[in-house]
Amino acid sequence: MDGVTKTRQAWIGKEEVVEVWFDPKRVSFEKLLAHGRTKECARNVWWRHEAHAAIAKKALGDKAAPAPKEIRLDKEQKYYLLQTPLVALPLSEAQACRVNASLENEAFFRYLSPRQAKAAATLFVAASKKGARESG
Amino acid sequence: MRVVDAAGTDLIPRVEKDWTVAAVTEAMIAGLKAAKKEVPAWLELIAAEERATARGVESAIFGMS
Repeated sequence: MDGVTKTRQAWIGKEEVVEVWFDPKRVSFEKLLAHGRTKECARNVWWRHEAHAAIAKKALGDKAAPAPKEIRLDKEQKYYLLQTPLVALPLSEAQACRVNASLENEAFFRYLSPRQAKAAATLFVAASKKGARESG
Repeated sequence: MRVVDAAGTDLIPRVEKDWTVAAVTEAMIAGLKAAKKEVPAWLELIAAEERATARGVESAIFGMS
């Protein structure tokens, strides 16, 4: 989503959650929450900023709460990205988010600079050759 | 830092003594727009990320279950 700069997977108790950092000048918390609800990935919300509390409570009632002081980070951040040779490619946080979310097709190339795209292509070729050697 | 066209003409005013990623990406975007060229998604993304970091981001946690 436009305005999102970083995400991280984590756990609160037994619930898998995602923390989302966003630029409030580009997307409001209210819009981010509404978008998450339409995608069914915001059934609960924990706010970190008091200004979000009223909006969160209005939208989700008792499924909204202040964020705990500590959350347990998932060991495998950007899971889909980790499964590809792109894991070796230096990316900014925002790039990693976009690439991780668009790996199903080659649309992720649009988020890479020409130099990164060239390096990514090299990584894929090397992985392909390695795979061919291991299977042959 | 100057952003020029193929003839060496300045596309945007010279950027003085700021070589941060934010300044370079903003200048590149301004130059491309001045030249009526498409701004690539990766450049928009990096610039937006830098802008957001500089002025302060907010965060919230969402659960699916």
